[in-house]
Amino acid sequence: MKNPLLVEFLLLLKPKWYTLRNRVRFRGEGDLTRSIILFVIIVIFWATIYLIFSNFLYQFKIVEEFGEILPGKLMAMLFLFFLGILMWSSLLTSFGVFFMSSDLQLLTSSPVSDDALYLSRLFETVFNASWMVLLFALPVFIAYGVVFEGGVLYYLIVVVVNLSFVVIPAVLGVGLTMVLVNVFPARRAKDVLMVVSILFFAGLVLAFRILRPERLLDPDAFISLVDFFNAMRAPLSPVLPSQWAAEAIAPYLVGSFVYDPFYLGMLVISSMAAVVAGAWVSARTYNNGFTKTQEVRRTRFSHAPFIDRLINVYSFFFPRQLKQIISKDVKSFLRDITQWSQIFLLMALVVIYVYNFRALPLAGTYMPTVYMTNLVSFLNLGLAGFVVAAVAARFVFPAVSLEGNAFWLIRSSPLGLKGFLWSKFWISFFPLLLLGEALIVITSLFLGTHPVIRWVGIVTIFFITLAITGLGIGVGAAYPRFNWENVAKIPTGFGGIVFMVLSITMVGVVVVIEWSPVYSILISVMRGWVITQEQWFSAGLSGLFMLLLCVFCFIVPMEIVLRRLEEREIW
Amino acid sequence: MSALVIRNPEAPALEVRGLKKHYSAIEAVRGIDLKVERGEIFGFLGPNGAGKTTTIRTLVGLLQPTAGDIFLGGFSLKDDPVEAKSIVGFIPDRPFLYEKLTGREFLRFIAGLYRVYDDEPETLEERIEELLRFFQLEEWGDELVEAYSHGMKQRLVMSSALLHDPEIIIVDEPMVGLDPRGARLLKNLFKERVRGGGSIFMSTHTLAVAEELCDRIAIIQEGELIAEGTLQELRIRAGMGDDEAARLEAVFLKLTTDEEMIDVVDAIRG
Repeated sequence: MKNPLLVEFLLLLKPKWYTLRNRVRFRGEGDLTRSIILFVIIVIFWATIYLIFSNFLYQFKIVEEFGEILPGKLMAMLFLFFLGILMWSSLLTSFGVFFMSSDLQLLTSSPVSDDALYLSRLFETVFNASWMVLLFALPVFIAYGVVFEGGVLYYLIVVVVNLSFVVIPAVLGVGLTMVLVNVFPARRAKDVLMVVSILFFAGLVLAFRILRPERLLDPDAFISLVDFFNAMRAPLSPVLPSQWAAEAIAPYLVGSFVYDPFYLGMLVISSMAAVVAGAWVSARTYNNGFTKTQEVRRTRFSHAPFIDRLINVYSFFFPRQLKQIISKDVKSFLRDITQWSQIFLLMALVVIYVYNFRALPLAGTYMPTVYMTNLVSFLNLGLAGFVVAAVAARFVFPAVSLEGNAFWLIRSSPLGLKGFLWSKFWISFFPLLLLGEALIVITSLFLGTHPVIRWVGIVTIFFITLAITGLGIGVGAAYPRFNWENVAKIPTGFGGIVFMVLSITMVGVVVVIEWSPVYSILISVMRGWVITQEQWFSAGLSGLFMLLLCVFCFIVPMEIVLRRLEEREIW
Repeated sequence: MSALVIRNPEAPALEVRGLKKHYSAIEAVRGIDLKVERGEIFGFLGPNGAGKTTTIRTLVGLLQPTAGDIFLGGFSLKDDPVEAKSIVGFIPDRPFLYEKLTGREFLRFIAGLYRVYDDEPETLEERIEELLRFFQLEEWGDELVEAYSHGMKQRLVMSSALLHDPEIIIVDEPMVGLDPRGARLLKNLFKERVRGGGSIFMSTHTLAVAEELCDRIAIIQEGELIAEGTLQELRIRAGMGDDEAARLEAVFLKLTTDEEMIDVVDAIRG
């Protein structure tokens, strides 16, 4: 006889399965090309991760004293990192899956058992929160398997460990979400959850950076690396599932002793216990929480005349239609915690960026310091461009999609789409420019860069920002996602990848075409030589090329997407 | 409400010539011609999937037609979209709005988009208050739209559609989400607008409303207009010309449903 809980559980998963199957079956125009491009990108990414890790592991293997310890420590660090990511991702996913999905009204009003609903939603949370981590962890485990000649049993253990491991943070994430929904007022719960998850992620990124993983790249630092791992003992605690996961795999792989299945058992049993405990908590809190999320109540927010004045100043020179869009966008941004809280991530990024420059060991290099300083400073232009592109992916690329289903108001109004795109451009450009220029100026001050390089940087980042903003708005309008539920997911699709690839390519090309003439002039200035006509000509030519490229990237995407956006269905 | 200014009184309120809209292999609208006169309420009916919403979305510029021309108040939507759109007020069936704005802020935003009351901020505020009062949203004007009920959002959309005193109101399912009081309010408003020279193009499934309000009615089926005229003209077209009491519902079913289906419907009704 079939277990009724299992029958219900499988039934509740069927719509997800059918959706997935139908997505493959009823492919839209261009879906195949997109899938192929995505696949190629993933394969390149996989190959890169595999090569980096296998290189590390081969190096570890040949170090006699630590050959057996280091790979295990590295794996424990990785699992700890995955644990953090999975916790964050589960927090973010579970609120939508358990409380906001449009099918919940149908399911909660149907005769489905609470346990089946919990288990099916937990499965969905585990899947949504972990598929990406598992996908990118795959080449790491393959690298371990290949370097240490794992055999079939190793891969079997890896599968069991990972499947058990991903369940625990998901159960914790779901549990925390349920507590928050029950404790805070319904609308606030989502906001609090969003802030908690973003702070958590920003902290995770900062913590990872402050651990200075780049030290692993330097073979000369192995002595200090031992200290490093010793210092890492505290977070690698035996009570963390990440440690159990590492202990379940690494000793089997690198140890010459008999394999002890204690940690594997611990992990599997704990994940099962976590599911049972989660179901117990859910049975006592879910219905109350779900009721609260259905309630509509008057929202509290502060009318800040200061913001109105600021918007007026910012949009003073724009026509009234643009002014209204700027005002609407700024207010919507400031009132939506899911949007403004992403600034925490931006801040983490900037702190890491500046920290990187403080941590640069320029003085110890064997190359002449002046040359090195200016080379690094010039390459910094590329890095700053990358940071601007990453920030634009979060804040500029989604600008058109953020109109959401209300985009019909723009489309049916007398404001043309061109005017609409330009308003989006002007809202984004100046804050982004401020960020780009600040990065260049602060880091060049840190490095003590020559004024020639500094000014080239200041001018170039202006045009790079112009181009990135144009690309962000243009590509974002070409691949809009009006039906978004989570703002943070807008740039994670195909359009976001296209935008990042184009932006990084553009930044790379600009740095390459500028370097040679700028360096030649810099040397002349530093040595007091007269700058020749050829040098001026070459500098002018590269400057002109940079200018044309940036203007091209700035204007062309915004122009060519107009037709595409006009054709776009909104609802 | 303020007096209506008609910019091209000699031109019909709305004119559609040979409108076609195809989605890949699907022909949603297969070449329709329509004319809505000034001071007229025009009903646009059809079964589900007949092409009503596609037509309406094309009329307001949300969709590009595959072929054909649309003139709004004499302005071509293709050649002169800014002028054409500026004289239309659109009320969709689903009130998707900017959730993080308050009602008042939303109406100010719409005024900016339609470039009305540019140099008269005080008049704009008066107009906003007038509309909020009319649609019984005055108390909610400073609340975020996300806290509004469906019906309140629908009333806010209606306020925004009237803010710039449009010559033509295009409305998709006007009664959805409205309580009986709101529905009565809207019917009176429509009647008042057409008395002042305005025109209404209305798509609905509520045949009683169409029967009560519309001067002329067009019926679309499978992307083609199958009938157009006054209720009496439609009765004749349906072969029910002698029966002056025949309701629009019966006429509609007769025109859009095959005989067997009508028998089934009658049998169910007993």
